[in-house]
Amino acid sequence: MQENFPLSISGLKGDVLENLLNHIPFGFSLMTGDYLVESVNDFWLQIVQKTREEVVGKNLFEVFPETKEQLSPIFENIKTTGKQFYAPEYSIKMIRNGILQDVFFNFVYHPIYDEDGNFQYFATVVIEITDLIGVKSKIKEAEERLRLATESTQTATWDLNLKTFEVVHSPYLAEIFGYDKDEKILHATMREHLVEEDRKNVVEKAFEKALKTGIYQYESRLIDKKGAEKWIATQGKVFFDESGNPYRMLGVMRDITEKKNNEILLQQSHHQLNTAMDATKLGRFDMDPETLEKFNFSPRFLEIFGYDVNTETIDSKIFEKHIHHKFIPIRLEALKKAKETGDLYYQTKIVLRDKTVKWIEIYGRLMPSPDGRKSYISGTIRDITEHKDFEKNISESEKKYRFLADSMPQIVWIGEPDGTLTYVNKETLDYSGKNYNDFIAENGWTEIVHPDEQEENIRLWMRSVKTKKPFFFEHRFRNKENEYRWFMSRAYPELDENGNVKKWVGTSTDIDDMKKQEKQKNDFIKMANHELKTPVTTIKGYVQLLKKMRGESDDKFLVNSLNTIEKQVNKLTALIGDLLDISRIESGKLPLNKKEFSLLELVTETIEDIKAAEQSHQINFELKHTSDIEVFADKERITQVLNNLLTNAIKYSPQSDKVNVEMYVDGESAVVSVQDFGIGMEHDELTKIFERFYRVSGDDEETYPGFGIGLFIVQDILERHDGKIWVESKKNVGSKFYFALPLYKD
Amino acid sequence: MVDDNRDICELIENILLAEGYNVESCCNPLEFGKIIEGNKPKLIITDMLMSGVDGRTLTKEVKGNPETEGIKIMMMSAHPDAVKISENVGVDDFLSKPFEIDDLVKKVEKLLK
Repeated sequence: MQENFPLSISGLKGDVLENLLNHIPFGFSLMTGDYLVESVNDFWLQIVQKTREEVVGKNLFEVFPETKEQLSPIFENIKTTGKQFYAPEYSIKMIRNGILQDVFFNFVYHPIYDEDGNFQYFATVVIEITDLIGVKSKIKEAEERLRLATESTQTATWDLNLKTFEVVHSPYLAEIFGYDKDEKILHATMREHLVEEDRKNVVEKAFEKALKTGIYQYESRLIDKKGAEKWIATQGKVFFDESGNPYRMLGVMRDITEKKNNEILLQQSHHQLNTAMDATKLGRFDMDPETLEKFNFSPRFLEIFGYDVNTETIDSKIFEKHIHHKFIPIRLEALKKAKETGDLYYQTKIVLRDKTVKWIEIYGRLMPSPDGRKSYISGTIRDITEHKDFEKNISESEKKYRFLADSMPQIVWIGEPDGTLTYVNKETLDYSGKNYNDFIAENGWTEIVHPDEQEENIRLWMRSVKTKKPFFFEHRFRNKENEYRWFMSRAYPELDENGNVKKWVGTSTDIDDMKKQEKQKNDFIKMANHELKTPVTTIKGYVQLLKKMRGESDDKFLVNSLNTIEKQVNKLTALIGDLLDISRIESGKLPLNKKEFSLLELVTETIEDIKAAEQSHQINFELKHTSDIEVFADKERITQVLNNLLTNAIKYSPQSDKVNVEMYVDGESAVVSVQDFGIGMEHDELTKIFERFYRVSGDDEETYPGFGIGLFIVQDILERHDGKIWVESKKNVGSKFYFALPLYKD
Repeated sequence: MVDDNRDICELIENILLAEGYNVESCCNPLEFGKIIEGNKPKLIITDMLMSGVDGRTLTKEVKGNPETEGIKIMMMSAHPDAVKISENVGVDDFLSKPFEIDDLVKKVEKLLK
């Protein structure tokens, strides 16, 4: 408080002055340079709490000795400098009511000079502000408490001027908005950070409401400066001026992101729990562990008991009403246990109102109550009727299965996941002449397998056991007459939900007769092949001789005839070769003689040979690679492949006159393509053509010569080389066959 | 030339005669031994699968006998695996049936160099 103090009081009349001084609301005293108190006003006396007699005419420091130390230097200084001393909130230790206290004053000490400029008096104006100081420090304390409180609860504070919209806020508020704590944010900026939807629907509405009701409250989302989405809760109070207009709002703001997220998660998990409960079709109920009363039945509970959720209710006696009489003791036992341990479990039959019987399973756990109320048992109920029936059915079906297995004339066996056999049917024992225990013991089954196949048998079986893939093998079993017969064995794994093997089920079929027949057939074909080739050799030989001897003849007819005969003989040879090949492919005995060679060379040579034999078509070859292409393969067989594709290309495009051949490298493979412009194929024929004996037909059921085994052999050859064959084709436009072989690598 | 098929014997005889070689045919493999004694050939062309006598056995006999081991032997056969089989027996060359007469002639030339 600044006082405007008139520097000269000499102009005022004495008693007026006296009057004045006694009525002003501050203490006033006059003191001589020797600290003799000349005059004081009542207020001053009140402040110091002394009487006039005690003070006037006395030395100040005699009346207040405790102030000497503090005040005398000040007075001396005033005397010397002539400057007034202004001490706001100046504390003086004084004895008041016998107690030494810190008393706070606002002082002005002023030197008074007479007309000549000589020091005359010390004039003092004093006002006690101890209370004010007290209030001020209380305010300071309160502010500090508030700051601590808001900091520890992570609460930001703000103070909004509703006229200018200037805002003063705590550092934490800046942090909430993603700024540094020293930054100051404008009210408009804060609004901008709010999520648009929330700003319009929530915040602005709350603001309007606050201006009317005085209370400001909302929860909203914002995107802070760093781009993170947060939830905030704001509360504020509006202050109205005398006219009732809002001029200021004070409030707090909290970051409730975590709380909100937890709320959402909780809701979600509730939802999930309910969904899970629904999915497992669990019914719920609560039970008082002492009185055994039941309540809070979930809709599924009613459903299980055959009550309509929408129209009916059930009471605590629900179990007593429906329990199957045979199970009453079981239930009572379980309930007794539940009282003791807090865990409830039993299975029972219930009889519904419509007389249907069901199996149910009850589980219950003692739940401590969250808010100190008494604990309760949280229970679930499950309809296990199907399950129980299933168990019964299983043992019945197992009996049926055994009966079936024993009456089959096949060898049937069952194995454990690790491959050991646990069951063989009657036929197995009859055939082998062994008894059950010998068979099952220590892989006894390997004993009846022919020694030539034993090793491979065990190897393949162990591989199937490990990879859980089906088992196939042809091998010989010794029968009780010590003869070996061929069997085809097959085993399939039965898997559980996790993909682990529960057991292996296998059968072995007697294929001995079939095997013998096949051998006969193959032997026949080999022999036929040999027999056919003999006359062919003779024919070819003589034709060539004739060509040699009479080739230069003028008899054109002779020369042409000889050429024709030779061509046909070559075709015949090829057909015979195909026939033999197919029988060998089927018995898996097509031998391959692999070596490295230049594919480029083979292709060019083969094309030359074909060109010499077939003049009907122009064969164009393009190499799309910068260097030679080498492969590791059976040269003759690959020649056979290319021959087959080229002759097919020519054969199936009688109306066209060219065939295009390309060769290139694609990744790790060498690829050759043969393209014709002939009859082409329908889309569904494209895979069939590689089947054995399949033959493509043209229009009018025209057929093309050949056994239809060429492509079958070609595919087999390529597969045995780890290569591939494929085709693109369009009906009446043409076909393009591709084959790929792995490149030769050093 | 040894083959139990008369026509083939004659064919090969004719081919080789036309090339200027001296050829003797043996259509009964059992008589083979006798013919060899009489006139030691420089090259024997034999079929592999014949009735009664196996071309391989014949090869082994010839090669095993110090008197005749210098004679070159060419094996002939329609059998697809014959190449491999005859390699093991120690033949000097192989001809598969049916053959190109140029091939036959080339091989004979080579063996008789």
